[in-house]
Amino acid sequence: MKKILSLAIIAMMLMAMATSFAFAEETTIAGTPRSQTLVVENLVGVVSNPGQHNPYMSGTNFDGGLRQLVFSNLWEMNTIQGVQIPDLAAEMPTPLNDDYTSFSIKLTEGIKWSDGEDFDAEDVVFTINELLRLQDQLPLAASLATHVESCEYVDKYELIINTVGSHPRLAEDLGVTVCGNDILRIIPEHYWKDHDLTTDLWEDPIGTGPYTLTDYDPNGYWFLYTLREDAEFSDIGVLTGKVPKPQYVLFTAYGTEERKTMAMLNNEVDVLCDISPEAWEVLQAGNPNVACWLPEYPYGCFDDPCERGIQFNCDVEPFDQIGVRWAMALSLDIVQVSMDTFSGQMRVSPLCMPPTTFMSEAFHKEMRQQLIDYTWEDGYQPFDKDYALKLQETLLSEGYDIVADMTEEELVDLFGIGWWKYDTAKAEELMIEAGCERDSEGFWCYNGERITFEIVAPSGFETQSERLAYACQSQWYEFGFDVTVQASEASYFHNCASPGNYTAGAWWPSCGVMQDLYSQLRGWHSDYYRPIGESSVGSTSRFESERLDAILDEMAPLPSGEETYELSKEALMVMADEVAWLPMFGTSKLVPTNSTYWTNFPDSENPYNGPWWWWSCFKFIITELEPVAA
Amino acid sequence: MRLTKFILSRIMVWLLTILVGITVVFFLQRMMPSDPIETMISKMTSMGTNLSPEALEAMRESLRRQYGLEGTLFEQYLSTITRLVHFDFGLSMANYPTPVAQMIGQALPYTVCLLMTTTILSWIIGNAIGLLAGFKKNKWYSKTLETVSMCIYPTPYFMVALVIMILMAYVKQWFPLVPSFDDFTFTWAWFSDAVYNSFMPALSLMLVGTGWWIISMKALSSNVAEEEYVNYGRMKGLTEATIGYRYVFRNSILSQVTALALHIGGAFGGSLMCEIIFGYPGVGQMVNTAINNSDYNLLTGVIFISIFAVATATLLIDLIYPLIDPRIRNS
Repeated sequence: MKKILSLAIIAMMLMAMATSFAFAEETTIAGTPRSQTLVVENLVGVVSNPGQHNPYMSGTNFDGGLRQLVFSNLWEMNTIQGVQIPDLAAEMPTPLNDDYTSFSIKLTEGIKWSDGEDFDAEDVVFTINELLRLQDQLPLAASLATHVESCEYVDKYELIINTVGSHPRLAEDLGVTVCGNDILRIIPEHYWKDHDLTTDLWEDPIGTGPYTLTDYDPNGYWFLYTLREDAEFSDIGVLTGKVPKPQYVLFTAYGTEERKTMAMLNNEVDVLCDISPEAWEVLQAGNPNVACWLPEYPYGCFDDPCERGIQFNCDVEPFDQIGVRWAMALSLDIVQVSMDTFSGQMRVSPLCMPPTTFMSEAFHKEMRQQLIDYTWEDGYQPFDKDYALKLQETLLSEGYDIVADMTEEELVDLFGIGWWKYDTAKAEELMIEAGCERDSEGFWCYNGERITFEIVAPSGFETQSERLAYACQSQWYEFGFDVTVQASEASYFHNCASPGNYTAGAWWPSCGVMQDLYSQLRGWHSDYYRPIGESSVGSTSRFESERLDAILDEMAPLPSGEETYELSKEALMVMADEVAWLPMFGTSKLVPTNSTYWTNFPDSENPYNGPWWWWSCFKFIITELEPVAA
Repeated sequence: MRLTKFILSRIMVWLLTILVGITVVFFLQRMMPSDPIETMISKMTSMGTNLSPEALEAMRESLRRQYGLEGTLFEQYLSTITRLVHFDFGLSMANYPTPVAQMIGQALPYTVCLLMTTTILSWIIGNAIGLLAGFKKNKWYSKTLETVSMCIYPTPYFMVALVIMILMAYVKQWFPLVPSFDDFTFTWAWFSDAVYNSFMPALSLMLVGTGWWIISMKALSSNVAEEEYVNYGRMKGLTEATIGYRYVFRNSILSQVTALALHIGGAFGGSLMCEIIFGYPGVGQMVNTAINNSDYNLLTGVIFISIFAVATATLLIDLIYPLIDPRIRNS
């Protein structure tokens, strides 16, 4: 009897597995036909509350497709051209007075919500007024209320927004510049007028994007979006006249890098968000359909909008002295740092803005000669324009013959305009000038005490910053700093900067995508300086500069234009001169795509958009994808 | 009277264990250099979100109110203890306003089912093999089993797990890289799906777990097998099966039962590495997320349940020991 029972159980288990194998071969994990489904990695991994889609609850997660496919913003970002573009709004806001406190907003006509209702000004006015009403209960509404004072309905496709104070860059605060906009997501008035924004989870969200959320894993591993039957009336349909080809989009959490790599090798996933160079090597060798932004070395995309490097706490001695911060820069062999971090697969930047394709043209290349000519009072010129050539030399010596036949201009385009010189003699001089001296073991001391500090670095995430910290640490240790790396889990890492509980951190404190840098740099104004122990609201470096303040004050009331562009360059030069922080490289993203099922992903040869699957601009990419079967 | 005193003393220890555990967890979290508000804001801004300083300040103040982090530390502590007495774990901060109880309720069954099943199965298999290896230590099969277990046990868990995943999910593609469980229904489809999705983590845990039980049982039973009363039994002419079961097994199993109870109690805390490697939706993964998000309420809830389970398992073992061991019963 026992034997029969055991055999029956084994048979049942085998049947279960056999059923599941058959199931797994033809469909996705969500049960949709693989050939009709675009499978995208969910950047943030598993979502613990998958049924919660209310955009104003602080715990709602948007990275699993809501931001990209369902919700829309008034203004979107063209990441290639570095300008905002209209989305739900038909045009950029029109100021109604000279002090930029009142704006007319015209809306795009013809857009419908996914339940078939018209999208119009009533929705926008309702959203804003509801948020202002609930500003004491909803944190995101509290943030919106610092920008918007009131909102008035004009007609079906026009409204007026009155702001709190002057807001010449209203679209930047209420629209998308980087990734998405968290404080204003337009919600349908016809649904929310009867529901409570503070308590309703909104399990079946209604959006103006081309897809609707139709299913999700109760454990938060995947989210399935289905193309709207009336997708031509979604914001993308109306704006581009195109309807996406994938019938389904599946956002899936793969967890560890090993699993996501295996999934792409097995063609289970079409797009991964970020992998290490080592994982890329495995993918490249194992699947001929996998590609990255660049077809050849260094493969990755350098257009992520955040600049990475080391930030010093300017309230901690001796890093409060500009000379010491400069010594830190000049004691780094940046070519070696690049090799040690990502095998040279990065674009260097001495400016506090990322060297994306657009930003490089606007700032880095534009200011290169200024940096070459940049001279200190003692006649010293710290800039080294030959970084790209030196990196090429190193790469060739290490067997990367792929860069052998590039011109200097091409190398600069690829690897960046240059960085600060590797000049330990000058660094030594600066340290001594700052009152530092070496002890008997050769370590630097200040006020009779050895300078001992940690570089706080992410551990197990943000690989580039993690490796960058170790690369710098080893060189600074060689130069005589008693420095170690504090590899930190997310909770500790994310809590160091704001209260200033750190001396140095491997961070990405400034991001930018546009010519007018005011919105990105305003936090560096000393008005927002907070001493160590108090939570920061602006720059976490505790940096203060009267010169920078003056420039930001001048920029504040101006609308974006040539004048703010020139002032932005001045601000960058001041930040470099006073070493507000130590920027090193733009973010290098290895964002692999798999063309087994879908083709025409954006890449360096077809850069119709950046490979930013976790940004709201993803919906502009998806209209361009083509099924392989077709 | 002595029995009542014995039971009451055990219950007092149980209560004290839970109270001390929760107190330590509460203050430890607050002493750590992490804050749920800063974590949330930092994550938002680290994605490049453009927030003005004024908007940031307003959000920070609003979040502090929302999360109930206003008031003195002692007031927060009292409020936490009061809630926990009623098994109210509050709302998750990182997943606001999802109740912590709901999140734990979602994850705990997966963890408990996986860990209880694998722990009990590996306990049974491991002890059976260990007994054989200890009682019949000179037989070739005992030596072989011992050698195999000695090879498996010291292998790092992540290595075993990765090898299983690479072989079964990547090379052969028998099992999914991402597990997917539907909401529970009492159906054959749900059961078969759950077995299919749990197979790899279960196998990895059993392989490593069985090794430990084999080694420990082998050590215990080989010691017992040397005892004089075992020799006496042989001289009396008892069969090897009788000696093995009555003399060796029953005297060796006691400490294994205790260890099993503690293992099962620990199952409520989840298996962090297993759940992360296989992406299994259990409590271990939830703890990892809670730590990364500085989610005080979620972390407190999970740890409370874990402490409660271990303390209760220990209490139960203390209370049923006399039933298992006549030496304790008679004393």
